[in-house]
This record gives sequence, C-alpha cells and structure tokens, in this order.
Amino acid sequence: MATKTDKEGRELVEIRYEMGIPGTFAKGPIMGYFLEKLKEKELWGTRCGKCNNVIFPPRVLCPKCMVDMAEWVKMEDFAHIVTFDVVHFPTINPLTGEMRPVPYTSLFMVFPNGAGFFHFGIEHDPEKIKPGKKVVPVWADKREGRPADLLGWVLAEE
Amino acid sequence: MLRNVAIVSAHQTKFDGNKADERFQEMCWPLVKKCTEETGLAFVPGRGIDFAITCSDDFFDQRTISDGPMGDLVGAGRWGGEEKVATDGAMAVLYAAATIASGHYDIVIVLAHAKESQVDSRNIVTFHAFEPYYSRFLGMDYTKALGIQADSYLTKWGISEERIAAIPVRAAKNGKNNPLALRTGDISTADVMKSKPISSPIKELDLYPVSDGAVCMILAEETKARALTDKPVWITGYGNCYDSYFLGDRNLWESTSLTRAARSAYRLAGITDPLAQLDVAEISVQAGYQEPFWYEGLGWAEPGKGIELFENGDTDMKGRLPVNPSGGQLCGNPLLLSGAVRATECFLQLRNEAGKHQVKGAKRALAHGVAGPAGQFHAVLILGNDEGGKK
Ligand SMILES: [Zn+2]
Repeated sequence: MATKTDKEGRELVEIRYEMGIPGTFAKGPIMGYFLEKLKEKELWGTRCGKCNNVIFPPRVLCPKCMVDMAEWVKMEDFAHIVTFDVVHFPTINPLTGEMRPVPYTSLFMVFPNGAGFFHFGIEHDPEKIKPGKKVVPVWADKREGRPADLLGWVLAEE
Repeated sequence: MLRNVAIVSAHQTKFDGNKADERFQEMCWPLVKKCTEETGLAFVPGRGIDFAITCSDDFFDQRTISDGPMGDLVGAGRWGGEEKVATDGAMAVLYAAATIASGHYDIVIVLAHAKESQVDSRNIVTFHAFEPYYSRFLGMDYTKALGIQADSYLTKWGISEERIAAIPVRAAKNGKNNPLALRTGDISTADVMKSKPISSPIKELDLYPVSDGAVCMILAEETKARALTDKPVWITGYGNCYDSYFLGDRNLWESTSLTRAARSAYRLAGITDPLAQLDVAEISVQAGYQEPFWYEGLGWAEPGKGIELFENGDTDMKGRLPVNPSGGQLCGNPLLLSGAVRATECFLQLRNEAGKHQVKGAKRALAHGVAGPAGQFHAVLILGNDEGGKK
C-alpha cells in the first residue's frame, strides 16, 4: 500500500482502528413473541385498546395513547406498497458483519389493517415497483426465530 | 428571576445484575406509568409535561441514539422537546431544574436508564472514553483509573487498605434495609480483603457491581408543584465542575472539581456548615476509597481526614450526617444512573417514604453524582422539603 503524504510530501501517520463492543440484546417478552412466531411463518403485531391502531412490528406501548397494548393481532399474509427506495451504496449487515450485495430495495408497506412497516423488497427494478402494488412475504427455508427468518417481500402474482 | 423548582414524583427500578427478560422500554415503562399516574399528568406541552430529559449512553446501549427507545415513553410526536444527557444522572436532574428555573418549561420529565450487563464488559465501554493515540494503547479504562487513584490517595495520606475495607461493609449493611439494592448483606472487612483483586488496591467487594436499572422523575415549578403533590421536594442548590480529561494533568489524591461543585451548590442553598445543616446525604461511591475522599471534597473533613469522619460514626445511620442510608452505588447502581438514584433516594428521605432506611425527620439532603475517569466530573444537588427551605 502506498504511503499517504500531505501537500509537502511528508508522510501522514494514521492509526487504523476497528472498534468492537460485543454484547447481548435482551428480546423481552414482546419482541420475543414476535421473533418466535416467525418460525411458523406468522407475522404478529399489537393493537391499542384505546385508539385501535395496530402496530407492526409489535411495541410495548401505544406511542399515541401511551397505554399498554391491549392484544396480539395476527397480520394478513400480504401487504401493499406505499413507497420504496432502491439502494446502490453498500452497507454492512450489522447482524453478520458482511457487506450487503447491492442494489437492494427498501419497501414501505401497509397491511390491510392499517399498520405501516418497512422491509426488504426482492425486486430491484424501479420500473416494476409501484405504490399500491400487492406484495407477499418470502421466508427462509430454515427459520430460527431471528429477524432474518423473513427474507423480504415480493410482488404478488396478478 | 429564577423560579423555584421541585421534584413532585420519582421512581426507580429494582437494581439487578442482569435484567435479561427486559428490553430498555420494558425496564422503563413501568416507572413512567407510576410517575404519570401519581401526578395525573399527560404529555401535552403547555398543559401537562412540557419537555423531557433522558439520560443514557450510546456505547452501553450499542446504538448511536441511545435515547431512541425512550421516545415512545417521553412523548415523542407530541410536539414537545427532548434532550439527552450522556453523563451522570444528577446532571439530568440539574438540567431539568435549570430549564424550569429559567422559565423555559413548567413541567419536565427525567428518564434515565442503563443496562451495564448488556455489553460483555463494562471496561470495554469505558476503555473507549480514552483517546486513541496514547491512553488506549496503555489499556486504560475507568476501573484501572479507579485503582490508580485509590493507590495515589491511600499512599498520600497513609491510609491502610484494611481501613478502607470497612466502607463496603457498611454499604452492604445499610443496603439490607433497601429492597431495591442488589448486593447487600453481612460481610466483614476480612471478606472484603480476601475478595478477588481487581485493580490494586481495589478488590471485588470494594467495587460497584455490574447492574441494570432505571429512574424516572417529574419536576415542576412552584405553583404547579403545589397542585401536583402535598410533599414537593425542592431543589435549592446545584453545581457541577470537571477536572482535566488527561489523568497525568491531575493530582489524583485531591478533588478540586468536587470542592468547586459543592461550593456552588452550597452557595445557592445557603449552606455554610454542611455537617450541621444537612440531615442526610447520598453520594456516589464507585469504590471504597471514594467515600472518605468525597467527604473531603464536599468540605466535611480536612484532606486526608475523611476516613476519621467515617470511623467515628458521624456518617452512620445514627450519626450527625447519615451517608448513603440506601447502601449507595456499592450495592449496585450502573454508571450514569447513580446520581439520579441518589437524588431519588433523597426525595424519598425528605418525604419520609424511605421505609426501613428512613432518616427520621430529614429536612435537607445532598445528592452527588460522579462521571469520567477517577472522579473527573462531579455534580452536587441540595434538596429540601417544605421545612428544609425551598429558597
Ligand atoms: Zn393508541
């Protein structure tokens, strides 16, 4: 590797440093239930008893009403695209430490019950992706109750 | 004209070595509920809670917005504001008090959380507090800094390790009366002396254990405070000060920054004789040597003589100024949180709600928080009930 120099040709000394703070995130009962249900190819959210809004993925409380969520709700196995973005710059998958292949697509979607959420889109051609189109989930063959059990969403057959 | 400020509600979790079954929100939400239910307040700027101060640390939480999960709990999206304090929790309380005293807000919620257990090592986090060119290469972290300071302090004043070993013994004994404390019980100085060496002269029982927990409180200006509670606890003085970041710049056996922080708090609260005017104190002691050391910084003893104040019983439960009736940080409060826990404990004492560790008739209290390596930063709060002068 060539030595880096400043304008006067003096060597620039840098310290290369890779930071690591290994740790463990608690799942807690709410996110724990959500992840566990991924094994069965099921998507679950929570409903607020006060405003009736469904939140997906589930949360501990309704941020609008500031009350505990009242009940679990099983989501439909399809959703509709609200908006999307095709990403061309590489980013690291924080769970594996590996670079994601590019391009990849982020879909913003809404379930029939009104819960908005985002996830990966399997389709990367912006000409084919349109707001309002119907999408269905694509599951990993081997599911372990981890976020990666749900690979992404693909345009439904018309 | 500064306005009077009171804490009107304050709650803390039990402190555990590892709350493995709770995420941050699950740990904090019950406290927010207790504070809002108790006061009947909602997050409505202008007509309820106006503003939020959170306290947490990005490295401990392993995300660059450690206050992110707190948004739902402190009214995100309700057109109020939020600020995060990433140092000791006493500063979160101080900050909240300042926003009210200045007239910016009437009612402010403070929410502080920390899960030290979440990272594989607390020392890896505090290692990253140091600059990368020199100190990191030397493997510096806060535990090591405590050891260096303890050596410096004990050597300077000729204090034996055995005398310091009595401090965690009293902390564990006081902690037995505090149902929220983690590490309590009947231990002897011999137990402390033979516990695992960590960073000489600090031993395992002499150092605050890794713990998880949270604190929530609500502060209000005087008129609203009176409407919200019968027993407001006034913040009558506060101060903070920090010393050099580079350990080599400091005389590690003296604590000028604490002296200055205390002087500022005493001046605002009109305290000229702290030992006589204070009824109870909760101070942040991360390792045994700090207890007498902080006594000196707080102006309660001459340099090197803090240990005598401890040994003659002046700071015992029945002494002139009971210190850490809760057991204090040595019984287990995470870094960042201790000052907020100390303030909450003072709140309970001044409302006569401290249960088995209540100091009878306490009217005026001192809460202290510390941050940075080897007591670099200090914050001091003076609190009083209606009899302790709202100033
Ligand atoms: Zn709701």
